[in-house]
Amino acid sequence: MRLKWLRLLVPVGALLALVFVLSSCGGDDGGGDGAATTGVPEEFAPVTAAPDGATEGGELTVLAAGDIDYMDPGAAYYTFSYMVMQATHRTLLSWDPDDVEEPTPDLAEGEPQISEDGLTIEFTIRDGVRFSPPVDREVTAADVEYAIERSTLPGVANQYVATYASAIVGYDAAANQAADDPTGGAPDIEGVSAPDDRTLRIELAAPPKVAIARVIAQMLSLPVSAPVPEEYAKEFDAKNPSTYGQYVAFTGPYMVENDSETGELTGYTPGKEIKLVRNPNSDGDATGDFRPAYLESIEIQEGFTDTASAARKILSGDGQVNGDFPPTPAVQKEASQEAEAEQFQLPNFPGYRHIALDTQAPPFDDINVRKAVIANSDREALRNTRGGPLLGPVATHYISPGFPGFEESGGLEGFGLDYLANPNGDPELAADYMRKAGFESGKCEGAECEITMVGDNIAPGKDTAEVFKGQLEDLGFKVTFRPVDHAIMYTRFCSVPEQQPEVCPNVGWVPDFRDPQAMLDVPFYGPTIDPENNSNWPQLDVPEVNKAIEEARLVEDEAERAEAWAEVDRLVSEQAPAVPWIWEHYPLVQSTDVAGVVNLYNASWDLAYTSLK
Amino acid sequence: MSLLEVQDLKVHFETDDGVVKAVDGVSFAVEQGQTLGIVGESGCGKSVANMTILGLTRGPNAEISGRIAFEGKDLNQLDADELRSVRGNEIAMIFQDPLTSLHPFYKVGKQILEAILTHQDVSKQAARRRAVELLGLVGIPDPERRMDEYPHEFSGGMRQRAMIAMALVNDPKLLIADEPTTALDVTIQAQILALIERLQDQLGMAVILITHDLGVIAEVADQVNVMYAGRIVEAGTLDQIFYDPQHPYTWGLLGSLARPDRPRVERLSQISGQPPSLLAPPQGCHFRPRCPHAFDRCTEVPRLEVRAGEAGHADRCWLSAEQKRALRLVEGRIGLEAPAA
Amino acid sequence: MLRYIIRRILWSVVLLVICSAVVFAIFYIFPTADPAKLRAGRAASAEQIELIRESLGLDDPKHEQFLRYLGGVFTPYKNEEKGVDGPFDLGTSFFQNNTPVSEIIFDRLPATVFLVSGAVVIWLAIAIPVGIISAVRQRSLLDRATMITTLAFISAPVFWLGLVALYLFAQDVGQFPIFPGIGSYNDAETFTGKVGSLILPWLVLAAATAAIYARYLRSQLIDVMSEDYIRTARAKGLSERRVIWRHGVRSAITPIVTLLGLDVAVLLAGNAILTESVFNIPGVGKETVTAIGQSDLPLIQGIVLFGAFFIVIFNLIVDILYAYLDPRVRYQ
Repeated sequence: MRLKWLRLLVPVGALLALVFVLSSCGGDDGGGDGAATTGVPEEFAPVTAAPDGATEGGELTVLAAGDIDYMDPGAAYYTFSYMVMQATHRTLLSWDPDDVEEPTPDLAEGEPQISEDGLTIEFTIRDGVRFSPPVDREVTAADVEYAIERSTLPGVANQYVATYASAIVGYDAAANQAADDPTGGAPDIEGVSAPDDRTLRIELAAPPKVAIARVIAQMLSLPVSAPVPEEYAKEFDAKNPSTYGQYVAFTGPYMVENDSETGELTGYTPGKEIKLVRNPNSDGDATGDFRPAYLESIEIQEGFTDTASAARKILSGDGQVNGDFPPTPAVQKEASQEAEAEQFQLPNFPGYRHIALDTQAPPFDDINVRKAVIANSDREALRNTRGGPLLGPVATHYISPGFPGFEESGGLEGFGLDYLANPNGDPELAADYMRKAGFESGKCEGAECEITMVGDNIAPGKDTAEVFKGQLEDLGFKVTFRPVDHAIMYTRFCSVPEQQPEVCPNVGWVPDFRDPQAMLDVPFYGPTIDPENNSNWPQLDVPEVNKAIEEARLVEDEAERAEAWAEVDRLVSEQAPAVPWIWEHYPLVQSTDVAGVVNLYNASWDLAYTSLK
Repeated sequence: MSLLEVQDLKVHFETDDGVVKAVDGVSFAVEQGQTLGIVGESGCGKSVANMTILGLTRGPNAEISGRIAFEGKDLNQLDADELRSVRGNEIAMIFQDPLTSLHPFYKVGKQILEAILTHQDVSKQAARRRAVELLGLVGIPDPERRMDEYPHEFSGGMRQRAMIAMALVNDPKLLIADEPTTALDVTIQAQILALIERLQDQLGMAVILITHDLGVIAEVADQVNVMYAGRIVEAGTLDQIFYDPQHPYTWGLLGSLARPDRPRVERLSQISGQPPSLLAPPQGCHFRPRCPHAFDRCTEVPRLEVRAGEAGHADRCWLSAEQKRALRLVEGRIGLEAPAA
Repeated sequence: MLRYIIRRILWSVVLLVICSAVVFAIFYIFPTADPAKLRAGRAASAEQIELIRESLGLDDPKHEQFLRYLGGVFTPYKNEEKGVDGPFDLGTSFFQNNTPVSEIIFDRLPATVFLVSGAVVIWLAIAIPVGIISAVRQRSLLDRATMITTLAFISAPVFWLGLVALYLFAQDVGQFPIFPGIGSYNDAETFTGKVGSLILPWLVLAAATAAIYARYLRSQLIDVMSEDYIRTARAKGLSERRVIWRHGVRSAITPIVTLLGLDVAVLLAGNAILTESVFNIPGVGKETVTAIGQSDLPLIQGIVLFGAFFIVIFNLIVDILYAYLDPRVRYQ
């Protein structure tokens, strides 16, 4: 379950292509789209603003199946962790619930100032923001500098900064220094400095590129830019792994209950509970915090692994919302029919689930065999294994609803490819394609039709795998299904090309940021096939597709860019590397007395906007 | 009046396979101070009959009829509580395997004390003194120390002595000894039998000695009942049974007995075949299928009465006195074998 | 006796080392997820994965990793760079906010101990009278009814039974909201609150075991009641009650002690997993699932060691207790 969330969504804010979204006005409106384009029924559209005169006070209970990954803002990477981080930290920039287009200045007074040569980014830190007890002092620019520098420590193990930050002067050197001496404290990154208490300056290496500067600025909307007081944290950071996660200092409206002397987090027991209370040193509006923070306290209760019971508990109970799990299909159905208005909401979730066919080895190195498999597959039956129509529309290509490039790819209809036309499958068409592949009977015959599939060992993934197995067998394949733990499926089989089975039925992709490149580049670009940590599961390596991707990356104009990536989407879909079968929503549930607000940025409840009725 | 008089005792058990007639009309009497030996193969009902005297066979599946008069009162009519006051008190019983018959988890002394305190209203100290005294009486050395030992720390013979001590603590008028020596080796057997005899003399109690071994009977019994398949087939004094046996089954038993006072013969005669199933015993004489001398009349049940023997010597065999005298001799001694054709 | 106990304890240490070795071997021989990759994330480069593998100490030769682990657990071995601080250092979880393994286990243990001990009381309180009555009234209607009921409880999967209990009686999702529901253990602040929250879990956890024990005790007692010494006890004129309780039950219950010792040890070691999952009780069993799901080697090792420790200790206790209960097996 963990890895699923690791791979589902996460730093939506960062990256390269966001630049292009920012550089033009308007664009597609993410969450507000109606059913026509997103597949979300109007009645279940997410609420993204608090009601007028929302009640102050009270305690909200969040039920969760698992835990956050890390409490340390320098390490946190799960969607669920972000839910907690957003309520407890003030990052340089952060996200307003209904604005997924661009981040809002938070700890920073305003937008980052990027020099004309693109070599310097400056943030001005707000006055008067204070750390929670026991640190109790005002936040300065040096605290953000330290937060960024410590993220290089192997003991902090940040998962995304290194990917984007090598353009910062001295970043790689600092990272190497930290790797050589993991307990020697955070290394100084030459290009990150605080010339005075209010100014954070980031310097980039030549050649100058405004685009890259903007990306780095965007990255600082992620929790890594939450300030960390060095004099307090360095003793924890001198350990490998760092123990700062057990002593975090907070700047947001809420904080994890702690020991006011030592700062040890008494309110967090991993896997059990997180108790959020008001941060006494936060004064909201006065220091420019845009979050209303209605609730008095929030208790996150973890370990509800029987998610059906947990979801029912929320629907029939008081003061509860779901955290890291979607309700089971049966409960979704109940909730959609019986629950009161707004108890059940379906924020749109970018990305797709697909069933990867190994294009490098027989029998799926033959495009006609792949087309036959797709044509034959009953994608509605696959969708039913996870919950049916409520869960979202059957995918007909890859760029998902509400995303730039979706309409350009033909919207819900897609490109009109015959083998993706019928969501219930078209056995006759499949037989045609099999005949084109040289199987006269229309069914797969011979030794190469004996194939292996590695998938989940628990529902719903296992159900999907088994349904698909049946569909393959209808086409004459002899399938050996090997069910394993989800994490094992990825790290030992599907993401390791040497070990890759012919079919990976339980993979999916969620883009890191809001750009069609993030939707298609990693999963289908040939040259990135990695021997150890591959995410191009079909191992698609087609020159035509690769070339189109390389060209599309460089397109700057937003409309043209959407067109360019839609073209990539078409080329990929025509290669039939996988069965795209669903564009998923993320179902949220709440008790009747909760006025929940959904933050569209990570499709979860925004704790700092949600209130009790 | 006899001390114990059993009349037409029947003990039938209902099982899934049918009714088992374990005891099928048994009558006998035990006089004060006398020793009655009951002999027969295992499964002939001798144990069941005697356990029934103490009500130990009572149960939902058991059907018991007949009269068991002990000092005139019919034990068969007593309720469970009344019967308990007789058990271990006026009538005591000892069993075949002294290891399994003592509770392995309790000290020997404690088990004896329990027997005393159940029937006598005495202090623990007094009971303990009594127990030690009895252990001494049955020939256990250092009884004070042995009181605090567990049964598994006793040898087989010592265990049986302890069992006897436990049976005697309440001065019973009748001791039922069910195969008391079977599990013991030969020298110990003799000691135990001698002990029982000595105690009987000393305490003046009656003894019913149940055994499959005529040799044991020969040592101690005054009267002997021979049982076969739920019935007494012959009853008489020790001499009558040994020197003038009337029933072919008794001949068989005697024939298989190696006797030190007689010259060794080539082979001991054996009774061929198996005892009948008590679920479906043969019609008439139960011994008929194994009896080489059976004839037509044997399909009728012979009553236990004086036939060819002296007064008080009864048997259940249709053969005439002459036939019995002639047929029971095999190679000059008593045995059971078909006459040579 | 003391020497025997000391010898047993020394053997236990050997056993625990073997257990660690087995877990370690299983971890590397069978396919487990790669914790370094899990921590590094999907965008990580090979270097980043390597760096994390190094910081987790997973790049060292296997035998070194294993010896370092043993050193930390059983000897005063210290290694600042690798963060080993023996003795009794079970290491640090790969995940779980980098919490030390012993801290996680000790945090989870009270819930499991509470759950198991309550369930033990319940199952014994049910099984002993039921088993005895059924044995004494063998083949009665009561006996037959009891045996059928117990068979049903034995056959019912704990998970299912737990859900039935919840949907019937839990205050949050139940039809007859009587007892506190899912997650209420963690929610409860007071001792009585925790007791209340455990009523359903106790019953669910105890149900199958109570049934097994009742049947076992019944058959034991039926066997014992046909023993010669029971006949002796009756022949002594003891009351039937005394015969059953002092002579029969005393013998029949002794093997139950062995059973009980092992059952309790195994439950404490994490086998209450299903009950803990259904009712969301943050115990050792639940933690096991999480640890395995994340391939969190130190945590898995720690839980297995702890479990093995319980099993070893309870075995010793059972043996000593057995010697006390059955004089025939007393040690010299």
